[in-house]
Amino acid sequence: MASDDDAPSVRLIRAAAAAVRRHRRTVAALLALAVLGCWLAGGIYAVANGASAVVRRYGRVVERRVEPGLHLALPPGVDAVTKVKTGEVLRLQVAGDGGAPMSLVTGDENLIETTLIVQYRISSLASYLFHADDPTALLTQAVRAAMVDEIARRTVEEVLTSGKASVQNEVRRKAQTMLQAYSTGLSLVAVTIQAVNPPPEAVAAFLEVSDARAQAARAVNEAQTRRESSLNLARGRAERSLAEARTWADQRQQKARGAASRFEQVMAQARRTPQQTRTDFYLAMVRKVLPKARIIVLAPGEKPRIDIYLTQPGSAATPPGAAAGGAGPGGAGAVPGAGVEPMLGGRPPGPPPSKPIPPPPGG
Amino acid sequence: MSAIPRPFYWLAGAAAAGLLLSALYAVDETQVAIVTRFGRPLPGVAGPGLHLKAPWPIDTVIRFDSRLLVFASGPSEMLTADKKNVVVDSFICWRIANPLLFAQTVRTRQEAEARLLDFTASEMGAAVGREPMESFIHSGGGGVRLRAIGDGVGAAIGRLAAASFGIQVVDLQIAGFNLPAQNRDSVIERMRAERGRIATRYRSEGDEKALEIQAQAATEREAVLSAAKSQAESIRGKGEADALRIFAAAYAKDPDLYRFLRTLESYETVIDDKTTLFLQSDSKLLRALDGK
Repeated sequence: MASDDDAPSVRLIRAAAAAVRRHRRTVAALLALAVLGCWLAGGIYAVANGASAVVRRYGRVVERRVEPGLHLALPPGVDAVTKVKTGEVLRLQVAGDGGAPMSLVTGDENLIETTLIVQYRISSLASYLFHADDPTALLTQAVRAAMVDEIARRTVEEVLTSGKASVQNEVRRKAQTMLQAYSTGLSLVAVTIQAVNPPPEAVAAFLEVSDARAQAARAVNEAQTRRESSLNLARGRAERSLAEARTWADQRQQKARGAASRFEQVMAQARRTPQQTRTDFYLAMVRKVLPKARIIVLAPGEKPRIDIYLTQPGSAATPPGAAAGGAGPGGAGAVPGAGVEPMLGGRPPGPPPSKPIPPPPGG
Repeated sequence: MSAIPRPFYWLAGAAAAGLLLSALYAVDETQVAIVTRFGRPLPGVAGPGLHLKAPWPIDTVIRFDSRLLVFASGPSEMLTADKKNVVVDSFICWRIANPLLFAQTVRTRQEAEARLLDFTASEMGAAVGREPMESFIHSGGGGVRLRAIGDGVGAAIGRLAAASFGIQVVDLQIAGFNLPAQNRDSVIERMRAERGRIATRYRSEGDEKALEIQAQAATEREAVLSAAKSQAESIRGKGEADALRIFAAAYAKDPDLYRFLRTLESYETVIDDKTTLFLQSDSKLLRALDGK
């Protein structure tokens, strides 16, 4: 049958066809086996990392959760394998109908507009796939219901400021409870308030409130600062006056010590030459003091002719035989002879000299 | 070779196999099924899996969705017990509980949801009409009964729907609560006025507190200063006392000399350029001057 002018490939095909015709049964059996093998091999499936699978046999779930790896199921037509990425966290925006922010009424009958972001995971694949018609619609409705309930219990102030975190937590908790009751196979990871605002027409009024709050806080802060600085200043002043007092007291002591030691030296000298020392001191003082004063010399036994104390400012007159100092707050006592009894006016009271000093021992 | 042509065997075999296969039916996890024999439903509901029935055309399978279905009622305006207009939105979770009754009465999901909507509108209207505004919104939170109201309406609808349509109402909840659009302007006006009051209150409270702090600061400052003053006085006093003690200790050694020196010192203070001294010519003082 083969003609010599046929190409080698044609000759090969012809030879194969002839072989098939010769072993018809064997070939049919091999083909049937191959088809069967392919069908059976269709039951082998792999689940990727981060995914899991559910196996249904004639529609009924037989494997609720198949972990990642290579697995064997009954062939297609008997078992159906559904694979879903269950590892990832999904995100859903919950707003009002048509994607506009949800409009809600707060407990104190204020309107607010809000949008939420929900993050969730598929925690039970079989429930997620087969238990509810539209798990995410249920999720949306559950979060909305929880939000309505939560906002209805709070004041607008709370919702807009301090209460945000607790609203989020409560909504998550309530919505999660509902999702569990419905067996949606979803679990909430987080509910976040994406936006919460008063209606646009009232925004300015709310801004004014936060402005006023900031202003009040600023006033209080400034008062605190002033208080701090005035206190610091007062403490500084107090510290300074204490330091001054300490210095004064110190100086006073030093002076006292100096005076005491001077006195002791004089005393030592006076012990050695009592009369001499006293005379020296007396004369030194007289020389220092007398040139300042006006001196009227009277004849022996003569009485002063002036018997009034003071006639005009600047010229002092004193009782007989006495010297009156303008600075002396007390009176002046008369000392016979040249003696003058001083008063320690303005000085700390030491042992007060009560007796007239003895007249200088000769001159 | 027989009289019957060969392809006939093939056809007959295929038909027989088809008939046998039609005695088997699979129900998916999301479905339930009932079987009708010549149109008359057989008792029993088949769940997911492979089942047997009489082959076609005797038995026919009708499948129903067994899943939880969610249906939003959409907002509708109602009147509370204290005659306030509110807009309530709710959602219903339901499922087919009695496929046979369902098939006989409403048949499709759309039809069922239309009936549920009718029930909801009337039951919700009645329930809202029994409740005051505080049951819906209350800033203390204690009086809010949204959940309870939803449950009550759900139960009422559930009874009706189960008896009439073989529908189980799994849950009904209020998923939206608002004031009617025509009230919006007045509500916003009230909100603005309220915010204005609050802003004023914040400002005056801030001023008050600042003044309070200022007064407190003055008191504290005075306290610090007067404490320091008295402490300084006592330091001075102590210094003074110490000085006197030192003086006294020294002078006690020779009181006589002390008095003498002290008196001399005091001349310096007592006698100045305003002093006039009357001295008798024979006074020792003059003699002392002469003798210098």
